[in-house]
Amino acid sequence: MKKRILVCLTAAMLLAASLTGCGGGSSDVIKIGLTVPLSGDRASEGSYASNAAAIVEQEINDAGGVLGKQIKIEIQDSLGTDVGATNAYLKLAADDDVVAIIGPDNSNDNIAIAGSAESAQILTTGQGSSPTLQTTCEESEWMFQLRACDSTLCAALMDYAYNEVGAKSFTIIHDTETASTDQANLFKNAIEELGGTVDDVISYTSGTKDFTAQLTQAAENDSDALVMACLYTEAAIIIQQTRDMGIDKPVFGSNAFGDPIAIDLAGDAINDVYSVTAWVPNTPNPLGAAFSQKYTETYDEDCAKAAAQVRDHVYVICEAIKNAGTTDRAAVRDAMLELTDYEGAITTYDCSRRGNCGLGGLIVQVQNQVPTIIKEITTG
Amino acid sequence: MIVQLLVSGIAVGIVYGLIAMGMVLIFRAVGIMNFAQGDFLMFGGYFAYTFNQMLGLNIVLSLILASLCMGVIGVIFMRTSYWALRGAQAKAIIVSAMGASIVLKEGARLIWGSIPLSLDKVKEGSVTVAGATIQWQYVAIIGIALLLMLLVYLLLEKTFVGNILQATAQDQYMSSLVGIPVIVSIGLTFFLSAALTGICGGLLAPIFFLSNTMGATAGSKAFAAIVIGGFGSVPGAIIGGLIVGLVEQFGGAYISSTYQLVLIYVVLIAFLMFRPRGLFKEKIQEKA
Amino acid sequence: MLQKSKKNPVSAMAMTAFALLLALAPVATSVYTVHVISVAMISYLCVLSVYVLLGLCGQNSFAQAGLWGVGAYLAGNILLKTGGGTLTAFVVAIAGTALLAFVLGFAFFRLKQYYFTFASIGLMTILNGVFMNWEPFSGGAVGMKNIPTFTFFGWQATTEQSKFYIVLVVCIVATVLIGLLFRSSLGRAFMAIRDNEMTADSMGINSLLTKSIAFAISGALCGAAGALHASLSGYLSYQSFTYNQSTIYLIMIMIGGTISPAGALIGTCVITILQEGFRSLQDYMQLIYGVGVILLMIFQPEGILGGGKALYERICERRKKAKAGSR
Repeated sequence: MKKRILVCLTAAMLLAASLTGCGGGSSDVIKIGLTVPLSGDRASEGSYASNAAAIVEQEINDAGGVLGKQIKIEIQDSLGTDVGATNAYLKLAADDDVVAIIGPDNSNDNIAIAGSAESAQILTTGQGSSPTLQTTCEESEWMFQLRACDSTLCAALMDYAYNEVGAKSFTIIHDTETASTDQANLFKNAIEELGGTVDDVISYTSGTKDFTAQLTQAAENDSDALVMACLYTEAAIIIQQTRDMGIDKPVFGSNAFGDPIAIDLAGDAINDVYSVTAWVPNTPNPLGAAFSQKYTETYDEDCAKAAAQVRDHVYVICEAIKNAGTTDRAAVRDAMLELTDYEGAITTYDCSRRGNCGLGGLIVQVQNQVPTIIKEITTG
Repeated sequence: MIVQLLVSGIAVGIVYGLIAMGMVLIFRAVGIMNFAQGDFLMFGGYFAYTFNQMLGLNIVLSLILASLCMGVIGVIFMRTSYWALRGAQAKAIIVSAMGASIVLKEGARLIWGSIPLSLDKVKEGSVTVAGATIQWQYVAIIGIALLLMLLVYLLLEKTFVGNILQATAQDQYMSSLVGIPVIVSIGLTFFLSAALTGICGGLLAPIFFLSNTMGATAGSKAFAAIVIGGFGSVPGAIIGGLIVGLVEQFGGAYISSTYQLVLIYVVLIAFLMFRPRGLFKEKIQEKA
Repeated sequence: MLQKSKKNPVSAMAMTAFALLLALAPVATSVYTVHVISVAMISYLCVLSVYVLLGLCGQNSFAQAGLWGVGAYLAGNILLKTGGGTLTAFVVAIAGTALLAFVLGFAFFRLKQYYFTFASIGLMTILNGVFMNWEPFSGGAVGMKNIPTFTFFGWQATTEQSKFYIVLVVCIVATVLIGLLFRSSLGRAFMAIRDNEMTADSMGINSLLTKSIAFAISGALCGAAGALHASLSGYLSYQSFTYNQSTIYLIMIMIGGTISPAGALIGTCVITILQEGFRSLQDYMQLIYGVGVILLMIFQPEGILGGGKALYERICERRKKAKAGSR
């Protein structure tokens, strides 16, 4: 009997699945899609993003919505993989009410959905910051990299390290994961362009937790400074181990080193570390400060970059819809291309560039466990 | 530099060894490789976090409580993912353990959130020995792990309960004939295994931090440890763990840091090719 | 176990009907559904490769996602760097992966059972490490992008629908070939090894060679799946080819049942539906998926197909008894 029920259940599920594809039709809400990993390795990013989405949705709807309609942010789990991201993306794109889709905060996933964005013909904003994604977006009709690309940010940090801190030789340590590998290459190129020397580039496989092997190698080089490109958990671990091993050279890090999660985990060890990022929770940007405060009040945690970024993406898309005066996908895309000077919580956006749309970044140094801005970068 | 690598290699390796030992205990008892052992590590870490950070207890007490809680989880795991399927083929049990692994991972995420967490060290600070700076936590890990191994050895070899566990591992049917309640004995084994692995989670959490996916890497290295040490051998598992830890550190420093993880598996495959029985021969006969 | 299943014509008919139904899918559903089914069919090929190894030959491998990756990157290299067409890429991916699997099989199958499984876990991790770091071959961590879609003699598959049909055709061909294998003497040799390797050896089957051939066939299936994946998604990243993915394939075949290729089909469908159909549950989706796997294994340790077969046999028996009673 049990087995028969199971068979029936399976049949029912098959039927249900074949029906899910149907439906649609226009209604009174404007939907904006959001694909983020809600499960898997990068689930924390998804939780920030969905929290931020809830706040922004309410904010915009309380202010009267867009074009007199309420907005709704539809979230789909990208599972943290490129195949999952494409499925989630197509699921959103299949809904005719969805006007635009925000991609995950990972360049690989965004590159994976770029092809689908072309064929689905829907405005897509990528949250990734890699130079590869920049080229992809510049070649694409429908994708935008709504963020400052790492190429500008990394070069700016190295410039600061070389000219203002006075470090001339560097050892680079990086994760073999995509974003960090990209950043490490950018750091390396920037240093060589400035005339500095790169003593060594040491990499570790994602998921490594004990960096003794990498750090002993780095210590032997005796460079003026260490440059690290990692994700936030590993950033916290590696900086703790660096300081515990008695290496007290200046450390220049990727954006993860200014992230509240990394700072929380690493404790005192992360003090004095320089990093380059687009966002800090205690940002001087008035819009950003307001959002950051609201986020912290609502969820009782620091507002991470993943949250602020979703806020800006939604606002930029809504602005484009407003300017277009319609929810027609192509018209919204065209309106997006004309947004050349939009003030967001993180920075100002120039969407006509398609790639590298965010115009500013921050060089921060962690002081007393607070990321303190020491220089603002603006690119024209 | 060598001292530095040696100490961290041993500390990390001994933890792999403990996880591997947990797996071997289960393997000897029921003849199944537990594919969810790494997640016991993660869950134990989160329990330790709950007692230490949320309830504000002392870290050592938290570790003990966490390991007891993990023991209970181990028994629940045994009841749902092994005992309910004990008549089925081994591959069905492996798959149900994988299901359990997903449940543990996602359960931890829903309970404790997906943002990585940290907890207190057993002892803060570090000490300098022969030019190498060594964190006290590493020393504590080595000490506690050795203590646990000694306790497990005494339990298995010198006590009545140990004899029961060994007897069940040798032959379930025979031991049920002589009046050993098999489910209790197997339950105890899972309790012990999960409790041991759970403590490791609490020990690693302050230096590697807690996340719901931390189990996967540690679990796979424990696998390697088992194979290198010799399938089904408890001392083999520990030696295997140490070898994995040392290969990881020295290979990473002298051969290639990029292919650190790959190196471990190259060693694993080399062992399989040239010494498939591992370093130690198994004590209990291979099960059909 | 060795005797051929009498139900084969039924299951073959059911699978044909299913294929026909699938062929109609693009007409009725959205691009999303079509894409999900295409991805599921690629998974099906990999699950089929697990079926050949585990269901037919009794060997449990965790390296299938790695072999899938080898096929995908081989095809990607051919399409991007040498300018070869889809057919060349296909042939190279299938032959290359099969050859690799065959050679590795010779080394690994000197090990029995669990030891082979461990070696395959090792192989999986090594392959993933290579995909992530070997830039000339795989594009490194950044991956390989802009891989051209399927092109045959100047005709290009641009829509999801046309890609869907290409994937479907490959799946059907693969299924038919595996069905033939099931009936061939080679297939029977596989099953003999599965049931008792020592007996098989004593009957004159070279078990090392036979198992390596099984691994090569499963490699060929993975290679085909990889070539399809490369052209379907246009982008390859090391993040797809992981140990986790291999475990998903194993879960799929076990849930479907290891007794016939239909098990691979059922398992792929059930898991895909679990993962895609319950998207609306968001946060809890993965948890429910895990619980579902445990429950299915508890109540259907032989898989859905195994359960169905047992049910069918019970009904037959009851009928026989009823007949005997009425006499």
